[in-house]
Amino acid sequence: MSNAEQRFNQLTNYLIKQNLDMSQREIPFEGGRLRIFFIKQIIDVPLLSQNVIRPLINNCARSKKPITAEHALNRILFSSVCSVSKDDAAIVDLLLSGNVVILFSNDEQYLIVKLKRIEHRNISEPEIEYSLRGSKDCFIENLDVNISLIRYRIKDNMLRLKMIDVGKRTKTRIAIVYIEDIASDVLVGEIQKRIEDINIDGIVDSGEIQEFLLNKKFSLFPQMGLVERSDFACRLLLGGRVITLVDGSALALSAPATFLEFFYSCDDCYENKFFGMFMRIIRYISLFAALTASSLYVALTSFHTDALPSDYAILLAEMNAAVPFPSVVGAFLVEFLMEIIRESLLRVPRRIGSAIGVVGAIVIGQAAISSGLFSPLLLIIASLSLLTSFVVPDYTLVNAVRILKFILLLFTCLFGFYGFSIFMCLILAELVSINSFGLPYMVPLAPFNRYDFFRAFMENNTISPFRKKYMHNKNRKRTRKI
Amino acid sequence: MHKKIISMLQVAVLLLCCSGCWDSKDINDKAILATVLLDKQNGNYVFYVEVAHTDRSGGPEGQSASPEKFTIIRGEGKTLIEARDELDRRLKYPIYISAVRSLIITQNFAREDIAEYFNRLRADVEYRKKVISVTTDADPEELLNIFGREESVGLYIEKTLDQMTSYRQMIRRSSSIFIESLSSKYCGFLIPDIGINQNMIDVKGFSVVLGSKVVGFIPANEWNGIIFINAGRPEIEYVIPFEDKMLTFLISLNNRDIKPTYKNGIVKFDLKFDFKAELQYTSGRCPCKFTEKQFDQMSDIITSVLKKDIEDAINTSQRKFGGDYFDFNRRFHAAYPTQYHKMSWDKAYSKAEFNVQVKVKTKELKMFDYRAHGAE
Repeated sequence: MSNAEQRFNQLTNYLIKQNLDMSQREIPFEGGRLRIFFIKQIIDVPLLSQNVIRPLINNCARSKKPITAEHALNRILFSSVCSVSKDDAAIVDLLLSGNVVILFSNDEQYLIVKLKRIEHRNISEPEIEYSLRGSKDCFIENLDVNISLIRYRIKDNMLRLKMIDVGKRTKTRIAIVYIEDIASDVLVGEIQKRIEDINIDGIVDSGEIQEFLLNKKFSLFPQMGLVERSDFACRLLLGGRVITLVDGSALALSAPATFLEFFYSCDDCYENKFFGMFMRIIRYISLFAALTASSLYVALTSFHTDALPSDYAILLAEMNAAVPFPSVVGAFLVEFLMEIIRESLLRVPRRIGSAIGVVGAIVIGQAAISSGLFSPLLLIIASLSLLTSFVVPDYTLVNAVRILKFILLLFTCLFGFYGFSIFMCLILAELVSINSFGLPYMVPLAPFNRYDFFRAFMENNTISPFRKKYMHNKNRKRTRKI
Repeated sequence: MHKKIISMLQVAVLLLCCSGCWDSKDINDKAILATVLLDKQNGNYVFYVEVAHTDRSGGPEGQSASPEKFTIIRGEGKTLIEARDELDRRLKYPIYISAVRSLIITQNFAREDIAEYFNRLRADVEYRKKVISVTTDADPEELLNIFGREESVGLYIEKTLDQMTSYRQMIRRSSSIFIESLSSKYCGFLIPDIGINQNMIDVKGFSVVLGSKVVGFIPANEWNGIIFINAGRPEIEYVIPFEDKMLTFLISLNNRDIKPTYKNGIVKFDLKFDFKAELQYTSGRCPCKFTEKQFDQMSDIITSVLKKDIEDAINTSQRKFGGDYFDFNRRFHAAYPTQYHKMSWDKAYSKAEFNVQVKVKTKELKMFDYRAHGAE
C-alpha cells in the first residue's frame, strides 16, 4: 500500500469518526479511487451532483490514467470556486464552512469545492427603521446577501471589505465595510483591532460584537449605531463611517456614532430639508420629554407648586383631589404600568399585540380614571412620555432613556427640582465624557463646532458640499458647489 | 473611586439640606387661595379669602359635581396675626398663597394703613410679588359673592385690568412696586379702585396713596392725564367737535420726555409729549378728504385738549392731594440725588413748576373718499 493510499484511509477513518453528520461518496477510477465528503445541510446538493459528481463519474469511467487533484481541478470540475490543498488539519473546518472536500487515494493533495448554501429568508421590509419614503430593502441574516445589497448601491472600486472570523466554535464571519478614500484609516484600524482582539467561543449576533467594541463598558448610552436598512448603511459609508456586518445578524453596526446622530432618520435626507429640520427638532424635544415629563410633573405638583400659574394649580388640584396616592407614588406606578405594556407588546405575537394594546389602553386609560386611581393629567403625561420615546429612530438610545427616567424620577421624588437638576447634570457629564471610537459623543455641541452644529439641524447636500468636519475624513468634499 | 463616592455622598447630604421628600406636599393637599380681601370692621382686621373648591368634582365618575368653584372663608382678629390664625383654624388644608391673583383692600382698611400688610406680603416668600392690588368701597361679602362663587373674583379683576392694560388704557402696577415705594423716602402711588355697578365689577378709578394710606380718589373720567404721564404707550380715544361734526380720534403717545431741573431751590419739570392722532370716523356723512389746513386746525384743538388733561392731572396732585403719585420724585432723585436727599419732596413738589409741551400729528385713517365713487 502506497503512502498516499495509507494517508487516504487514515483521513477517511478520521473524518468518519468526527461524527459531523457527514455524507460521502466514493468513485473508483483507473489505479485508484476518490472520496467526496460534504455536509448536505449546508451545501447546494443539486449543484454538487451537476458540477462535481457527474463530470467526475464521466471522466473516471473513461480515463485510462489515474486522476489527481490538480487534474480534476483543471480539467474535470465545472465549479467556479475550487482549489487544492495539502493541509489535513483544515479539512474539518472546511467541511463545516460549507465546502466539499474530495480526497484522492493516489494523491497527497485534496480538492476543495465551495458549494455553500444556507437557507435564509427573503429580503423583507424594515421593522425598526421604518421610513415613509426610503427604500424598503433591509439587511437579513445572510452576510453575502447583505454585502450584495451594499455593492448594489455603491459601485465604487474603493469600497473595501475586511473579513474576520470571530469565535473559536462559531467562527462567525464579520465584515468590516468602508470606503477607503473617505473613511479614516485610524478608525478602520481601531475597529479591526478591537474585533481581532475578541477572544470568545462564539458570537451569534451583532449585539454581542457591539458589547465588545464599546469604549466604556458600563455606559448606558449606545456608542454604535444600529443599521437595518441597506440604503441608510450606504449613506453612512458615504459619510465616512465604518459598517460592521455580522453573519447571522440582520442588524449592522455603524461607527462612530455621536449622540445627535441617533436622531437622524433616512427620511430627513429624502424629504424637504426644512421638514427634515423640523422633524429633528421634534425628536430632540421628544427625547427630552420622554426623559423628564413625569419627573417635572412630580416636581411641580409635590415640591414647587408655586411655579405653577394659578389656573393650572387649581385645575391640577381638582384633578388630583380624589386620587388616593401622592403624586410621587402615582408617577412611579403609572410609569411601571407603561413599561409593562410596552414590554408585553414587544414580546407577544403581532396578531394579539393589538389586542393587548387595546386592553392596556382601556385598563389604564378608562378604568384608572373612572375609578379615580390616577390623575388624568398623570396618565396624559405618562402616555406622552411613552409616545415621545417612539419618536427617536434608534431604539437603543431610548432604552437608555427608559432606565434614566426612573432614576431621574427617584431623584426628583427625593429632592424636588434640586434632585432633578443634579441628575440632569450627571447625565450631561456622562454624555460629554464618553466617546465613540475616539470621537466625542456630544460633538458638535461639545466640543462646539459651528459648521457642524447647524448641520445637526439641517443636513442637505445641496446646502453644504462637505462631509462633517468632526469625522476627519480623508476626502471632505461630497458635491461640487452649486 | 472612593473619592467619587465620598463626593457624591457629600452632594446628597447637601441636597438634603436644600430640600427633601419631607418638603413635598401635593397641590391637592393645599387650600389654594385665588383672592385675598382685607377689611377693617369695628376696629378689627378681617380677612376674606376665596379658596378654590378642589374637592367638588374630584372622585370617581358619576358623582355629582358642585357648581360652586370657590368657598369664601372669613377670619377676624384684633391684629393681622389673630385674623390669620382664625382663618387657619377654619381651613381644611394649609394655605397656599402663591396662586393669589388679586389683593383687594377695602377703603376702610386702606384709609388707615396699608403699609403693614404690604410689609407682611414682602416677608412672605410664597406670596407672589406680582399680585394685583386694588381698593374697593364695596361690601366685601357682596363683592366676593357677585358671581355666585362659580368664578373667581380675583381672577376676574386681574383679567379686567390686564385687558385694559393691553388696550393701553390702564397703568399696570404690581404689588412689588407698591412695596418698593413704601420702603423709599417718599411714598406716593395710585391703586386701581373697583366697585360694583349694576351687579357687575367695575373699575371706577384710582385711589391715591400718599404716605402709607389712601387719601383720595380720582374717578375714571378724570384719569386720561394720569394715563398719558404714567402708562407705557397709552392709546385713548377722544371725541373732538370740529365744524358741525364730532370727530373720533385714537390718540396714541409716540414719545414722552420728562426732564427735571433744579435752580434757586425751585424744582421744574419739562414734559414733552409727542402724540399721534388717527381720525377713526366722524358723525354724519363723511365729507370728502379733509384739507391740510383742516387737519392743522384739528391738531390745534387736540393739542389744547390733551395739554389741559395733563395739566389738570398734575394740578390735582399738587393742589388737591398735595402729593406726587406720578413718580416724578424718582426722576428728580436720579437727576439730583444730593439735593433730593436734603429736601422735603412734599413741599418741593407742591411748589414745583411744570412746563407741558404737547405735539400732535394728525392723520386720517379708514375714511371714505366719496369723491372716488362719483359723489360731489
